[in-house]
Amino acid sequence: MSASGGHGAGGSTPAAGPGLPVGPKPMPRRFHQARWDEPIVFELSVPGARGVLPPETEPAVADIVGDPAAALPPGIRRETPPALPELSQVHVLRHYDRLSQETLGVDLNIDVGQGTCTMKYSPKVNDQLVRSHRLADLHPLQDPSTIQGILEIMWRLERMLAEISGMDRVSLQTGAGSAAIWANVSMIRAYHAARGDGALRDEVITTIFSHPSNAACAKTAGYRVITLYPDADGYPDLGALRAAVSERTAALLITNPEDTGIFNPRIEEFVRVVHHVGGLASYDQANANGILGITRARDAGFDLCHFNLHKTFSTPHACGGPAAGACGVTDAIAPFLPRPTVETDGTRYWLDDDRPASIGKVRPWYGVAPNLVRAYAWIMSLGADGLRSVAETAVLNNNYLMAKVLEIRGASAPYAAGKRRIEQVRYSWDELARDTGVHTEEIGARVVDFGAHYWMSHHPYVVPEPMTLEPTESYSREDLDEHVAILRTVAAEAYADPDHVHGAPYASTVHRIDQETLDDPERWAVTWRAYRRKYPIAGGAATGPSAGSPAGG
Amino acid sequence: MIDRGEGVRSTAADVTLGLVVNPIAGIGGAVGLHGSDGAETVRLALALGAVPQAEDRAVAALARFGARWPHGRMPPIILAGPAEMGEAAAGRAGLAARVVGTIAAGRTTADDTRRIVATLAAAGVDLVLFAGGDGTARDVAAGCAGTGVAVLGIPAGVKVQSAVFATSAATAGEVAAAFLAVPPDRRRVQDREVVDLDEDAYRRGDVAGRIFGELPVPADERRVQARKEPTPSGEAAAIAAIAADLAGSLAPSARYVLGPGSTMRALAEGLGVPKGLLAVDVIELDAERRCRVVAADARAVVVDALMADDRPMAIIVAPIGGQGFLFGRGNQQIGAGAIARVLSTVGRDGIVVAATPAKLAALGGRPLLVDTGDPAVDLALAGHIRVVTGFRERTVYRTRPAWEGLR
Repeated sequence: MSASGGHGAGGSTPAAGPGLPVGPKPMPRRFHQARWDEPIVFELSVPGARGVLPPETEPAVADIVGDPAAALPPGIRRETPPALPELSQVHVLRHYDRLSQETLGVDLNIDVGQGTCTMKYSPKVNDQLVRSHRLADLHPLQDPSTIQGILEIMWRLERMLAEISGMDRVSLQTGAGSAAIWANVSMIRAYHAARGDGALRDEVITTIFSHPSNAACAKTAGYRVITLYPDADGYPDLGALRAAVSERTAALLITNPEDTGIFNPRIEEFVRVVHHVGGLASYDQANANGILGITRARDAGFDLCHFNLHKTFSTPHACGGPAAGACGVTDAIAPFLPRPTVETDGTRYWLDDDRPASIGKVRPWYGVAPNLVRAYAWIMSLGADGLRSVAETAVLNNNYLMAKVLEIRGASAPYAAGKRRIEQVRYSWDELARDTGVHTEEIGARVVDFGAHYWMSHHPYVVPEPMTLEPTESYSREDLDEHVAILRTVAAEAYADPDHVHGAPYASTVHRIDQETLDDPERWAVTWRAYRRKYPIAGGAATGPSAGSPAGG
Repeated sequence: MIDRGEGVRSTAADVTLGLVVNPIAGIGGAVGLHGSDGAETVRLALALGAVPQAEDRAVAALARFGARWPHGRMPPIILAGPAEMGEAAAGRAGLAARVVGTIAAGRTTADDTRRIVATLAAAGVDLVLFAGGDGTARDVAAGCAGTGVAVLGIPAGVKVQSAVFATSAATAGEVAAAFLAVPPDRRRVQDREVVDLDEDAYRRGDVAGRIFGELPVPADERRVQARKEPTPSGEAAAIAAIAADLAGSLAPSARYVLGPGSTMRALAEGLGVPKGLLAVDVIELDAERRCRVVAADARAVVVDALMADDRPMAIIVAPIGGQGFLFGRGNQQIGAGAIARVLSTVGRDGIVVAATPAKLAALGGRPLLVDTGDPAVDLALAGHIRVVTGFRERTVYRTRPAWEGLR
């Protein structure tokens, strides 16, 4: 709509070299994402369409088998078939290929823009292990004597993560992220309750640059949450911590390095202050990628910690779905671990469900077995030296990237000036925003025109106009240079033609969404039922899922 | 081709935009005069070679407004102040405007702004777009007081601390176009604070704002100032969460002093009592935790007298404006005596501070400031203080006497 609104993503057409039909590709690359205007799969449903036509059962077989559903307990038998979409194979394939073309993923783009999420490469060979029938055919209800192999892998993975964290026991039963933090908070609550002061200790302390799930899980568990702001140097305010602790303190939940990528050198002192009043200290090691083999939670005095195997240990993020967590604890906390635990006498392995002090199950069965195998394979392929070189490479990549980003006009890295960062940096476009009126969200909307992704969840903006980049060990110097070229191009556009950035994106699947909707809980539809209730179909008769359509669609 | 989600299929027939430009807004800034209020300052600024810039900002806003107005829609009727107070800016932006009011060209006054805005509001404009600074915002608030007309500021002054300004002139044009392009029943406004400084004090280095009122501003939280980031549920929800926490934690049979500001007003509303935005009120809960107002808009002597009582009591305040003042700016009715009494009888727990995370983040790491007029009380409040930041959410934040010098 603006004068420059029709621009594509890239710059000018590359000049062909003399005599050559194709010149070098420009940097940053030109890109245009697919837009298929694809309906949801229910809307594609055609009654009677089938992907597979199984042969009719021979009468002789049917006579012998009878009604196969009769063996099912009545409680799990459906009276009516599920309302599934009906499609042929090729329509299913086409549908999901189209959707995949409308997304950016870690295997498609240089995914350093998704800071805090450790978007490293997950080796595909580990997927082959997981898809092998030797794992895929297992069922958690099998007798333990028939699943000794996977139990041994789980046991060995626990011991390796115990070694990496310094903790005594590690549970792999939980999910990652909030599920793992929830498990740790639950253990903290059980620990204090067992000592008789659970009711008194009703406060949990965290920091604004720690993962927000720490505050969220503590609050969900019923705690009052005290969030500390950084001091002038960007470190968590130790004076504020001293003022905050009391006999009501249940625990400190803290990340280190925090989301700024700054390592807190006084972390032992933080733990001491909390221990002094009888509280526990839990280390959110979701982002451990910069400290593997360098420092350990236990060495700083922590009582609990957790890893996200989908971050540091290379299992796929899978859209935030089947991720596995690992909760490490000292012997003092171990009785409260989720159940079951994997135990061994040195020759055989079993699942121990008889743990009376346990907080119970956090996930079904014993966690996400395929991801435990992937993480085990990843660690085994690297060895101890390899893990340390992962951390060193991630830190080197990050500081290289920071040096390059800080050359861009309008970019800065608040706090700890002149100091190196660990695995990520929270940058600020404050200067650029003040100079040009272009805000960080608009930069995010523009970088997708170059096939890059940009993480947006920084609330509240303690660092103004924030951007967080985390390069991990997986990206080459050329990759990092390409990402910097994108940012440099967008920043230059902001200064030269801010309207053009304001109008972005131009080359993406989705251009603009109605932000207002996101601010209005009345219009949120977090479930299909809520969607149907809040957006009734005109004319009323919306009876089947296939009748649904997006509002205004 | 380009989705803007603007709901361009409006059915509104006549849309009317009011425009006022304070031609001398911002004139003092370029020559280091920290503001432009007062005829003497303006004369001095012009003598020092200052070039008026408010009109340029208004033109930039209107140009963007025109570019963003949906194609094919009838353009809005523009009612503008005469000559340099709006008409000229509209003309330079290529938009036809009808003139309202009269002025003495070259010698415009704050009263002109108030009169023109009153006329625009009476004419039923859908939005008053004004170019100026905090002083202009005060005049606009005075001019349209009680009318409920929506207002949006084009930042063009030296001081633009009020939450009624867009983040830039061009953004103001965008927000105005987006607001007016949708039917009236879909337009959302949010009451936002008008904050201003005493410019004489400001020139002496005293940077403390106070609240002068509220204006309904288009609810575009990404592009309107004092809203640094788009949170999932918005600043209003954050304030409501704080109010809910406080309301649940008030003790029965206790007396409370409530400071000024929107957070405290939300608390009072949650308790079922009215409260003025700028007022310091004293409330009391009975044994059944029913609330009543003991003193509305109380002066210092009244607060002192009510606090000289044996019952349980506490002072509840929110930091003022962007400066983070807890005491001594905008709530001087809560004097050192009352604070000292609470500190001696209840202790630090008797001083309850409330601030949204966004408000604390906007301090950029600066401490909260106290300036009660009694250095001993200031020092007693210095150090770290608990701040209610949400429902069952707290922080512990640094406090410092303002007189220790601002960073």
